[in-house]
Amino acid sequence: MKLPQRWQQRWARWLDKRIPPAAEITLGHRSIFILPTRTGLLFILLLLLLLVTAINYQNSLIYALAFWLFSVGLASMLFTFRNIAGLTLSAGHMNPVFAGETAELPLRLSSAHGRWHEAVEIAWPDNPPVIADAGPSQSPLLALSYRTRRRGPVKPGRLRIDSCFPLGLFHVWSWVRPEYQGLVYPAPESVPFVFAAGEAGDQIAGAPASQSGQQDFHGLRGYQPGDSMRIIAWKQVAQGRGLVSKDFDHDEGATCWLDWEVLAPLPAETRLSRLTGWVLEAEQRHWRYGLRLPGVEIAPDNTEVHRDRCLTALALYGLDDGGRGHA
Amino acid sequence: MRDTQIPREALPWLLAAQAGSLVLHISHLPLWMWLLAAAVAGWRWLIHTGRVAYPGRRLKALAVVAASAGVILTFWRSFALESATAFLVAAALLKLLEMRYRRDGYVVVFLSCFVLAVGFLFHQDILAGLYGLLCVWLLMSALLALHRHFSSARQAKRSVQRQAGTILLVSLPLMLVLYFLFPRLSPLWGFNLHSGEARTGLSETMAPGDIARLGQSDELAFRVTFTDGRIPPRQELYWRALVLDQYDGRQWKPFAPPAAIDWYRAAPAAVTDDRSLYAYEIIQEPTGKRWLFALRGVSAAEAGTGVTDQGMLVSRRPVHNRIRYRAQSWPATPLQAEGLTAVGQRLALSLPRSVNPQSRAFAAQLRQEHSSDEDFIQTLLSYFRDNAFYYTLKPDVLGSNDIDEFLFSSRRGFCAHYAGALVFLARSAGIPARVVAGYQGGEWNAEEGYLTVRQYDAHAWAEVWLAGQGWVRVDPTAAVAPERIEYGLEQAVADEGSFLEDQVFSAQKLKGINWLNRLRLEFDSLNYYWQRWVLAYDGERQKGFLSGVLGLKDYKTGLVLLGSSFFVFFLLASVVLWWKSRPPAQSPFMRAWRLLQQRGARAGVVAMGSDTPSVYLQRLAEQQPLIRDELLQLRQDINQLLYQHEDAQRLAGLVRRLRRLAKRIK
Repeated sequence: MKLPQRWQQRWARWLDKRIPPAAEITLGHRSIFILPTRTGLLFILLLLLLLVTAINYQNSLIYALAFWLFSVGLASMLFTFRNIAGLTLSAGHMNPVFAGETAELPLRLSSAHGRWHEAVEIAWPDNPPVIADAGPSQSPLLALSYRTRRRGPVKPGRLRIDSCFPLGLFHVWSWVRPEYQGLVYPAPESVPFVFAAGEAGDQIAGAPASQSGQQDFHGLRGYQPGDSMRIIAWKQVAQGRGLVSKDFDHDEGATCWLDWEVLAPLPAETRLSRLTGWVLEAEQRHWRYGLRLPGVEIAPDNTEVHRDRCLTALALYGLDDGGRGHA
Repeated sequence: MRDTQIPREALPWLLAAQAGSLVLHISHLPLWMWLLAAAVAGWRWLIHTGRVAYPGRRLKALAVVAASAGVILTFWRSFALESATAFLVAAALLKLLEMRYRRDGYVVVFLSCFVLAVGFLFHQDILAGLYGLLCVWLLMSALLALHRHFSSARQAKRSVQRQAGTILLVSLPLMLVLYFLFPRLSPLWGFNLHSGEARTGLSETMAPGDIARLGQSDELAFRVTFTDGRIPPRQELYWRALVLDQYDGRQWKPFAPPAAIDWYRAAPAAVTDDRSLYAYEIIQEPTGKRWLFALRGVSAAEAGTGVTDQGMLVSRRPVHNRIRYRAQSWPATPLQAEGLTAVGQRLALSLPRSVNPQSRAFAAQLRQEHSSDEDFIQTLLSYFRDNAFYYTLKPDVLGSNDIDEFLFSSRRGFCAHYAGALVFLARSAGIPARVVAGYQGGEWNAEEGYLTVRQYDAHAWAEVWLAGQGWVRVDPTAAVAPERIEYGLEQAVADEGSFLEDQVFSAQKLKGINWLNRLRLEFDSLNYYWQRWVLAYDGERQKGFLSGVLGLKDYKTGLVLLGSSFFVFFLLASVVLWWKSRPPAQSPFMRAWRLLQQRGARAGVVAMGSDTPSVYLQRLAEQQPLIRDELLQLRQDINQLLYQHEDAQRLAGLVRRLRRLAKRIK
């Protein structure tokens, strides 16, 4: 079912007002929608059939059965509603990913009133649902896969909560927008380095040759967090010698600037992608690299914190806060 | 709808629910249907355990054809309720074979609900009702299990059956309201399928041995309550059902369907203080016939009933279901005292020409001695009394001149023999007479005040027409075996020991043991209440309930009550929901803080979810140079107050400062 764009926007605005995005959302009657299912309609048909049989045969037991099932139907509306009312969804912390990758968005389900919430289906639109129970002593942490598309703060949009427990006669659902704190870095693009000229127009002292490429194997060293999977010495790991990395000859300590300007004529997103690729590459080669973006300058360094700062700057470049783009 | 697989844990529930819905059909489904049920359920179980696959399309088609053929052959040419039920059950069973997804599960559960309902057409006693409770519970558990997520924390969650039980209990009050208030409509169309099974009870024709056979059955015929407290003496309890005025030499039967019926017209019942009036209410088991049971001199008191010109109470429709009706009788009223019509007279005297010559001669001889009709009848009665006639449930088999044989050689007979013989003799003597069939007596339950009439109370007697008195009841059985009328059949045949001798286990046989008899009567009272409030709860009874218990005058008020109870229910529910989820009351401090944040947001400093007041005020202060110092001071004070000690006075001061500052944010 595709609504015209205008209506979709209006619907989204209405939802934003009714169920505002938050890091933690407890479903209540304002945020829950309920309608009979197709099975519910079939059930009504059954009730009519029973009623007609009862009337025509003047059979009190069938009357009683029909009325009981009818009451059960009505009660099931309440039970279905209660099945997700009071369900609390808390967004967890998302680890940064690169655009285009699938992020794992953690979502904790818990019960606000100490009730059971059973067979609750949770899914992003067009994704297979995760089915979970939450209860007084059980607060499962779901990992919802979400395929990121654009760089920037992650904005996964609205999540659909579905349930037709216990009898399947009614269907309750809600659209919630858990707010995740997390960044999507630009998709890295691997291209050869182009370095900015130094202030004097020369290369900076100790700058690596742009072609400085694959290095010679040098020896083994202990694994350090952040080592690429590619340089882990798997053979040795398999022999039970613990995590060790292969060490290569590299131009350790070389300094360079990764500069927005050298990619001058390219469109902004392409430039960001290439810069991201370079940051990763330089990081891996243990260079000291700095990053220059319009209005941002990060002095050369080589640490994980530094890398994350650079990637964050790239991810957020040009996006003022509150940008409505979906990541 | 997505095709969700049926959870593995739900399958046993589904199988149990379906099997449960079949139990009420045990009495009438053919044996092979049970084999089919076992085979299908077994197959589905093997699929469940992974040993066989789902049957292919061809096999399924074959099964459908075979089951249909089986039903058609079993019920060849008898399209009755039983055959239709067999089709329904076969369909429900075969659906199991392709029960794969949740939606198939729905179909199975809903079909089973209907199968259960159809089972109630066959059985409606208390046990069937109690069993129905269990079955509904099973069905709801199956429906619930279909939606259960079984993978995690199975122990911690409430069990399927408990959850289903909770839902059923919660919905019980509304069910009761609907049951008692929902208008009971009359059938929407006349044609219904009815059970083709033969019923025990009076039949339209009476051969001499017929009623004796009924004497062996302790099935319920009807129950009576006398509504204004006047109870006729036992000897007067002649429940008339049928007038048999035609004799073909062997059988007695009605000459023609009643010609003129005086249907009940709703009229305000005249309040009479007539001591001779008996008003009563009858709950009658289905007979499949139109006749009803009433005392002599009846007038209809219930819509859908009427009185024939012969003074019999009849129903507009055949009684296929248990019904309840009221009637009132003046037993003393003369019946057709003004005289018989020519046709009526001829009919009441007609006899086949050549049967029972001996009896005719006997009647002619007696007639010469007694010219008065009354004398003649009295003489006949004393003839029965004074000669060695024997009242028995096991009469001899009689030949073609059966009345001759009975009167002059065997002299062993049941009520039908005596009534038939008396009418024959009277007619031979030119006195208009007819046989009346019905029930006599009944068992009085003194505690609850109702009369139970069973099949063994079936009786036949005679009515003769006497000038000036009209039709007068004459019961030759009373002359032969007065204890039959005074105490009932059991006493009358006590010497013979033939009472219910065919029935090995009959509660009626326990009358001798005191406490068991009390138990039996208690159970009978329970059944009576079940019939009164459940089975025979119809439009009239509903009116009585509405006016008597709830004090409502008519339906409209009832409907208004029904509607408003729904309204009140939803109103209360909404209020409760609103109350539960209302925003928590905020302290003055929080309200002032909110105000500050709103103003701040307007000025461009939006609070993030993770901001503490301290961080936020810091950011705000940087952006608002004019009130920077005050904001920073406030920040310090807030921290002190919030994290160190509560002090109402200082808190109030803080709130005032917050408000003032909020207004100064630009």
